[in-house]
Amino acid sequence: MLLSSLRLLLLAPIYAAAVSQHDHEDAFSESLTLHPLPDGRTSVLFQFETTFSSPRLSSSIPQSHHSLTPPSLLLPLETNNVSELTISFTSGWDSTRFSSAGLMNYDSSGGGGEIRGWLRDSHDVQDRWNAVTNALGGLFCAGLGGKDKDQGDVVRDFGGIYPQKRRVENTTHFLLSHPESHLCTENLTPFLSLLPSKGLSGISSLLAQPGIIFSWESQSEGIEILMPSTTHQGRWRGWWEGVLPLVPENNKRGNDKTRNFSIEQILRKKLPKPFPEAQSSVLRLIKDLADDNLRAQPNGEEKKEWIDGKSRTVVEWDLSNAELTGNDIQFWWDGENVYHYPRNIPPPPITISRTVVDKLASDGTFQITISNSDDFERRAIYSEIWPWWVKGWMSEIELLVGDRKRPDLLENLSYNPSTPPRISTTTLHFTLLIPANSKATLKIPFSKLTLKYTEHRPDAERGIELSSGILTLLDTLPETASENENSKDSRNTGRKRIYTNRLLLDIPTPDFSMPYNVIIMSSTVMAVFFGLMQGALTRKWGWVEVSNGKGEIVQEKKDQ
Amino acid sequence: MSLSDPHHSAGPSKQIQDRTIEVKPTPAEVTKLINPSNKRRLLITLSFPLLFLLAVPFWWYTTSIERLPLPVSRIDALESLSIPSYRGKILFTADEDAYPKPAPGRPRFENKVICQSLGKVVMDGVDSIYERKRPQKKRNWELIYEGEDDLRNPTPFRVHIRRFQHANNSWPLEPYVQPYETGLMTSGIKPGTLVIPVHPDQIGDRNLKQHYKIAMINSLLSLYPPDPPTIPLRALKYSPNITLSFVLLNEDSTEGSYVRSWEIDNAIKEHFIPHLEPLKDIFNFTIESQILYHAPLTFEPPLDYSPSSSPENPQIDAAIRAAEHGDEGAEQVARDLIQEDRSQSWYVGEEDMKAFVNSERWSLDSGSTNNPVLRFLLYVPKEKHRPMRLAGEDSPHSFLLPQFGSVYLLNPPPSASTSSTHTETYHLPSTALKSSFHLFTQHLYSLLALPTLYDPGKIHLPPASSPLSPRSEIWQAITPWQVNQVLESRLRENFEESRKTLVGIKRLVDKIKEMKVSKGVRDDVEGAVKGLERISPSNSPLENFIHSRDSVNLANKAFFDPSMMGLLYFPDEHKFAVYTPLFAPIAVPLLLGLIKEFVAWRKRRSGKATKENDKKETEKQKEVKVEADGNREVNVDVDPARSSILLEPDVTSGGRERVLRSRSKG
Repeated sequence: MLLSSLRLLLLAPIYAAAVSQHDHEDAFSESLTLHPLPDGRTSVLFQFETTFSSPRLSSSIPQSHHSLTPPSLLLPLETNNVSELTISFTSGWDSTRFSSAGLMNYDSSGGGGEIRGWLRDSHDVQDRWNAVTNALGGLFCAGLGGKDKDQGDVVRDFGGIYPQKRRVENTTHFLLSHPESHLCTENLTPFLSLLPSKGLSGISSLLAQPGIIFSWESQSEGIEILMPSTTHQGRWRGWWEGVLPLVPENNKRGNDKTRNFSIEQILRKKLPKPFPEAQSSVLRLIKDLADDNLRAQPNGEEKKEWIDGKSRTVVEWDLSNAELTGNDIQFWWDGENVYHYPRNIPPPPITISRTVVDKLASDGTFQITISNSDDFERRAIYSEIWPWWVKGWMSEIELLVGDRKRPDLLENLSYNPSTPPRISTTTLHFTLLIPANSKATLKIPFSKLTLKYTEHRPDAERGIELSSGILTLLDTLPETASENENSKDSRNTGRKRIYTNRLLLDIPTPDFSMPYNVIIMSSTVMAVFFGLMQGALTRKWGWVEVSNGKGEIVQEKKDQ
Repeated sequence: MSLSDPHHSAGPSKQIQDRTIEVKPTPAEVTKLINPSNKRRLLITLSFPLLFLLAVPFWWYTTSIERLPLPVSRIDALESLSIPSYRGKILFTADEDAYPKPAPGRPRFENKVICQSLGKVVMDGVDSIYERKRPQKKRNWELIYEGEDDLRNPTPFRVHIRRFQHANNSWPLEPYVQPYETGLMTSGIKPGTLVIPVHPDQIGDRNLKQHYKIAMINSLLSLYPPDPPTIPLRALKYSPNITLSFVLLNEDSTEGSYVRSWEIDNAIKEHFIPHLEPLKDIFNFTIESQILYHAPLTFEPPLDYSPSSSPENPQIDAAIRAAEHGDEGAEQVARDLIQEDRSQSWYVGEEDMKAFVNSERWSLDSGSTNNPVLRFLLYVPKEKHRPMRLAGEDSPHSFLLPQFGSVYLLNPPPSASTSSTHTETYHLPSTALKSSFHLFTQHLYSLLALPTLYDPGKIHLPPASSPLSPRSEIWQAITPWQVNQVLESRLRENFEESRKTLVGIKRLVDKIKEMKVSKGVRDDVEGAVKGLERISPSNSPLENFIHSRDSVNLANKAFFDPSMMGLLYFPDEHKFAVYTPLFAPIAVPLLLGLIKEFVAWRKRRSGKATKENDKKETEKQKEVKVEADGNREVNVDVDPARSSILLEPDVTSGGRERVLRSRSKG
């Protein structure tokens, strides 16, 4: 009797400690960012961020308690011991027209789908990665798992390109690229169901309109999760970005040829009721220097911010303000009666493009053009992921500036060849110097190997997509205003990676009705051959006498 | 071809021609020379079908479906296998002074001896009750006494007569099951023991023995029934892993006045863990919880003005009770609550209750595993819809969804200050969750088919841990008695399930001849059969249960083995589509050759005599040919009459053949 009560007394402090461990409150914040682009369009970026502490509770029965976080997202990551994970779907970005090297959200990948992450090491790390990709693929209605059950298409040497956001020892990086994946309506509903506001209140209710969202041009969706550790809270962030034209194309507004717009005009909704648990709910407008005469009504709070290598004006509205709820915000350019499409749009400081020059149907050359319009040399790593059937001729790689060969600019080349015929990938990392004010061209000749019968896509033939190439800039500085009072320094940016377009490679495809034709043909040949052989072996030969018409009797061979 | 010129025909005939010019054989000779004998031709013709026949075993071997034999006889034998009933041992003890002291001069019996005599009476009583039952039941337990218990493997079932100061001093006795005790004053009785409390004043009673007997028989009949309870349809089928998902749903948090946090971990620790932990050998539970800030209903509940009399309203009860304890504020709250209770309410009808849970829009569980999930939903309607009531007598607060979970409607009290700030939020401490979690516990019992402990008139609530605090109404942790019943009923369920699946596999394999039975399937079936065969009365109930569980798992694994499905839907048309292009064209010359041979053979038989003559003559001719070697004239100038005679059978047969051929072509 006494013993049991004594034990209780002794354990009391431990219980108390267990309770106090759970006191970090989860917090949710959301923002909507508008960024008018130089070509009469605007970028729209929805961002939702939740910080959370470990939902796991130590108890004899495994427990996991969530308030703002979605258990369907975090439980698979937790059971599989994931430390960081990013999923991203992107379709299209035109850096020459938009005067920016990529999307507003720096973590968006190149074209198509991509899942990458850091897993804590153990002997079954590969299986756990498999389990995570399958679980989250189901969540997003998109196949995120590998095509190969041996996980040959998983890339493991991109840890340097996508470094950890939070240092965790003994982890492995995995990357699985799905360049053929598309962003579609099936991705929106699961994305919204992960948010605590479920697309019913706050900024998320503006996003929950597939009819409007999916008419936008370039789209990017993604989530990024940093799992909580003993010292740090976890954080998960979801984003959705799109580009839409401001000048109406089929002009329903009469003769309005200006870029004037309002929130209701572009999103067909007034400013919504705030989500009550949101810590902050902000509308942001990013004004470039060229957009100096962009005005807004009601006025927001203005401040200077350094974004992507440039100093820009940011106007902010606090949407949790009750006065804004149910109202609208108007935007216009002072003195603009007709919008004139600019003759030339300043390109981003670094642009990169990739094309294939075909000599033959079976061979080709990747031609990667990196242009640097700055007055200083840049150092970067250019990385490629190829499927196993692309075979590069490494000895014939050329690096040209203008027409001159400059092998000295290629500092290092890391080449991990695939091992055909297993489904595996080739990865390449070129450490390069890009000279100031010049255009460097990297030429990689390659051959296309013959695909296995089962590797051809079942859909209508349109070639096979290659993942985007990645240019990782090695000399970027933190995103703060540079010391020399300039309004522009392209090194001061958080954008460390610039993606090329995806590439569609034509490959010879067999006629899939062939097998049956072959059966029929070879059977016919067999039958004819068989008939002949049998006839030849069993035919009876003899002589017959037939009159040749002149009364003579001619002896004729006769067969039977 | 039959009329082609010999001079322009193919090589062999040319050679023959040359030779005839040189050697000048007769046409009959030539015929003989270039044609194989009839017998040989027949052999050649037959060799083709023979080749096909020889190939049949290979074809059979390469295309046959692997069908390993299943232990059919052992599966059939399972039909007669019955589930052994385990004979439990119940340790019967009593406090030293639970019996009246013998009168001076009378022999003083040992405690154990008194227990033994009482135990015998109890067992006889139970036996006679069971005998009178139709169908007849049998007692499946035995009473044992102090010192008879196996020390290494002590029995979990205990009965104890306790002399207890705070016991009810009126008849009949109120047996209870000892709960887990904490605090400074503990009784020292193992939790789970069936306690028959007796007040010291009652010990002197003349009918004490009768009372003991009645109390023990009643409580043992209730705690150790002869048959395990059957699993009702609303309960989950057995699955080793079960997820419990607790969800707090706010109908609409943007309207303000919503619940933003709850002490879920404490509530689970208090209400659920004691019930889940003793079941850890049977179920692996995982618990997840979440808060939803938006859970719109798919229907608009109608407004209902009828005053509802709900004396069972736990909120009012709690308030009244608090008021009784002298809390003045609580008195006001209770009055308000009763007032509010009589005013309008939003009514959820029976039909709406079926559609209440909008599982498509509300994400009620993580879906991260394939385990069956029981969902316990605490629904907070938005302020506009308060108070929300359910249809039914006494307007209950919760309803159960069979095999799905349960819903509890929580109407927060109206805010004291009706200011329009709309920022008021609630935090639910574990005390506020008490009534809802109490109901959730009851629903867990019925969703998992757990037997309840309390049986009116037989098993009573345990006394309060201290005489000052009221008796706890929260159900106490699961006792060994209940665990035993769960084990037995789940053993029965698994046993039936496994047997049914095995018989199903057997029937299926019998019926569908194209179903593949690979080694994996056979091993699984054998394992399942073995598991069932291992169940025996000599094992403990837990061991038997584990055998049955493994057996069900293996049987299901075999039943759903993907390899069995592979050739199931490979229709005959498909096979014909592959075989016909090859076999149909080959069959035509083959059959024709055979028919031709057959016709020729028949004709030969009919004209055998002529043929024999012919033979002789050909021999003669041969001799002539040998003699007349070198003389071209004779050989070139073949006697037409003779040659026509020689070739006559061939000509006729050729003519027939031509007819035949044309017929076959036509």
